[in-house]
Amino acid sequence: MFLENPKLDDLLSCLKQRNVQATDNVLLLVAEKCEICLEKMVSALNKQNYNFAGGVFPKVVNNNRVSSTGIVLKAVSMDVFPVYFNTQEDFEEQFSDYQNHNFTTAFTLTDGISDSVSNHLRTLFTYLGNDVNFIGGGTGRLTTNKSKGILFDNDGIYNTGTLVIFMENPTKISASHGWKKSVGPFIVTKSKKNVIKELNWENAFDVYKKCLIETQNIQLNRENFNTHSIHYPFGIYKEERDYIVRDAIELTEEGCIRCVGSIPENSLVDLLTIQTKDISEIPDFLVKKCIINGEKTPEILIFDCISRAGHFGNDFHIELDGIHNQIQKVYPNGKLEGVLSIGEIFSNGEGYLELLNKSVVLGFSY
Amino acid sequence: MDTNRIITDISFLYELSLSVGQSLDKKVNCKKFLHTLMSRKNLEFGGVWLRSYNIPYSEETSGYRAIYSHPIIKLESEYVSDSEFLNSCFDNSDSFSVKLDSKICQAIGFKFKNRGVVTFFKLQELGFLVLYSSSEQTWSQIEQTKLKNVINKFSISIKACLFHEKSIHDLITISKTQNELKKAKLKAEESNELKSAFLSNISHEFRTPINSIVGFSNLLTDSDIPPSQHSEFVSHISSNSNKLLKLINNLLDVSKMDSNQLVIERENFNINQLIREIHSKYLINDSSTNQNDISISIPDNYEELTINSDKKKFLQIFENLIDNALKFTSNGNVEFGFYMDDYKCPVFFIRDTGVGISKDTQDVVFDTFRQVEGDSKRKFEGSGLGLTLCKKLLDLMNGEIWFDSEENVGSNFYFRLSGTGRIKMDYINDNNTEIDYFNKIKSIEYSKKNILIAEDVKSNFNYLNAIIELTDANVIWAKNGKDAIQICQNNDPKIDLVLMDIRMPEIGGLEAINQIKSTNRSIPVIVQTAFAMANEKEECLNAGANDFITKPIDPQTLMQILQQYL
Repeated sequence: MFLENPKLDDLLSCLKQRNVQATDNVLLLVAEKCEICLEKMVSALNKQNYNFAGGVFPKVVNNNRVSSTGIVLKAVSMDVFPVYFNTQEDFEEQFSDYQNHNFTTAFTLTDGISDSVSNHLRTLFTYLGNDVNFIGGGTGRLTTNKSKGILFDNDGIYNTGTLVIFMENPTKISASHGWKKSVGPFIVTKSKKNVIKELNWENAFDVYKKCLIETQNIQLNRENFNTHSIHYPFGIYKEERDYIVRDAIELTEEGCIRCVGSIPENSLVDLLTIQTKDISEIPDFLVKKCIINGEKTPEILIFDCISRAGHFGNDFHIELDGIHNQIQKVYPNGKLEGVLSIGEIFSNGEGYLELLNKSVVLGFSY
Repeated sequence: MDTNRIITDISFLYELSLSVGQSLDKKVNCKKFLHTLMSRKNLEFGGVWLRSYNIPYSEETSGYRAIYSHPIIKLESEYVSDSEFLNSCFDNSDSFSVKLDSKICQAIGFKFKNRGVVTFFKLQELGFLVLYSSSEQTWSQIEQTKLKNVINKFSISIKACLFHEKSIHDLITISKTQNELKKAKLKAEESNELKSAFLSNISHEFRTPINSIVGFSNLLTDSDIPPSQHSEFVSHISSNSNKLLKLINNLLDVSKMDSNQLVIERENFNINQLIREIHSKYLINDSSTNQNDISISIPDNYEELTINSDKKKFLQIFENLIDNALKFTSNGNVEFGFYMDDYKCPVFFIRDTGVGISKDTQDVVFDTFRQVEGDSKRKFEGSGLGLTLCKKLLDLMNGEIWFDSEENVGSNFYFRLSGTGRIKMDYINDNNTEIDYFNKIKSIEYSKKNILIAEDVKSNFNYLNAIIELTDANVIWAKNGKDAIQICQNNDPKIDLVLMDIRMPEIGGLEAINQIKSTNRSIPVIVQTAFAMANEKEECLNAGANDFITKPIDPQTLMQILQQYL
């Protein structure tokens, strides 16, 4: 269910109208410019005895539209309370009570800008392995103050960390990005977490700048770094799977490049690019991967990257329309809802769990 | 193979090689390496198993233990025992890739999955590494070979980690041992210093009363001294003899306790009576140099309180504590007695208004050979054994001693005879069981009694003779064991009691007792000896002696013995 720029009362009456029971669990995906004060919202929902959890994202998705002020609400059934953690020990302690549950899916919201994202995902993979599907994305505020909170649950509001909601109903999840190699390879000869310090034993920015002028004829400088870097992310090479894309989001004083998600030292990266024509197949691919034939209309959730929207500009709607249309073909009553996130989380039970960038993750919950 | 492929392979091996040996912690080393390997090859599990005997200080001697696995959820157990599969899996090659089956799952403790591929790599001389992927495609030989060198490198890095771990462990052990040795050395040195101080102190403590005894004894030989001085000199000799005896007894008791030879001998006695006796004794004997008021405090309604404990030791504790109180108090008050605690147990106390004990030294007052004022400027006499002895005696009796003290205000010492904390002691509060040892004298016709004293030292014989003469009994002297046996065998006159020394020429006391008893069992033989160890007493009693008294002989004790056996 989607509410456009609601007041707190609107949210509460909507929950009431929808007959959401106090025993149900409510998932709230809030666009960062939504005017509801998070503190008041958490307090009001606690007063009404709702179990809830959620996060703040740059934008939310409602069918083929995006909103900077709306809220997406989902009633989900779950047997256990969400787990919020900041360290492996936090998670270990809380998860020890849940070890005998058979979860199908870990719905994961994490601080997209934090340099601890990879560690948090690694913690989740340590304890859950590929026995569960992962779907989720990076929360965060791009234009408003992070201290207003980016994650919340019944216990309060958090400015960083990871929140996991465990689900037991069947899910199908798919992911894709369509980015291709433009130039490379480069060896990340020096990095720390999500910051690339050196490429090919030289200052990271010098190499990046040189590369863009040689291949794209772009004169890169500190001022226009973000304007261009959004179109030329790094891709970490993986055998037999797509690149793991790393968005270059900030240039530091020292000429280091900060990314969304970690870049291992000594790893091999390429510079990537993508054209609108390269994404035409993606909607069909994503939806088909999520369909379980003969099942009822699922709850549908999308995590699309905010910087993917930034890269495509107006063409972004071509992809979103495409996904929406594909869903309508299979499930005419299906509602495409979700967020534009800062990094995406995906695992369908195969392969190593990584934070994705500039990707689309689609999940159907049956 | 195209160039791009070669470049990616080389870069992969480059990345992987550099992930090896990033830490000397084996787990961190495994984590860095496997994270790179799993991420790059998109694998869902990686684990490192080592032979148990390769893991430093492992308690297991066989089988393998997974020292690292990611994710941990995939393993049922970190330890797997030796199996035919594991023993032979690398017979043909150092690596292999196969579909996962139940046999493999069991062999490595992996949670069963009905799909996927596992790839094994041998870790030279150490164990193996396993990678799992849910894909159905086994790794080609060339894929395995590509990793061979870097896996060997990883293996060597694990070896380095194990050596490092062992070295660190050894270093810690060595360092701990060194510290312990250092502490032991310091303790030994301190103990040595204390012993030296103690020896110098104790020799002084011995010489002081001996000087008086010798000095006054010499004076007594002068026939010109007036009778009033005569009695004063005798009083000095008696008082100093008692002091010396107390010192020797304390020393002996500490020594006995250190060799576990001191035993508890329980009897019933009236507390109030004993406390009054102690009080009277101190009122008579207290050195006139200290003008102290000595008083007792006994609770009302407990006049007949009788306890079952070791009376001698109780007395020893009390007297030591009173001696201390008097020693450290000049022109003040010393009070002793007891009060009943909440559980109706008597808690004995000795309070004084003396110099008190400084906070700094309160922790060591019960240590052996300590005297609070341990330097050459000592103002107070004493062996430094008193409190140690009290504590040891009370420990032996399962009692406890404690104190509170403030410098220049005074000290309060407390003790209870049994139990610790608030545990109730065993006391008997029954008037009917009271035994009066002091006034129970039976009527004996001593003039008709013949007492044989077997004693090789003339002065000792004279002393015993002087005491027994007071009773009008007849004394016969045997200078050695042989004579004693002869006299008893002749039994003319009839011998009513033998006082037997142990260490004598020709035939010793023990042998003499044996022979006397073998011919005439009814003659009571009382051993009187300077030996005072528990085992000696036992030996005498085993030889047939009826009782045992230690030198110097207390006249009162000897009289009690005569009363008992004649």
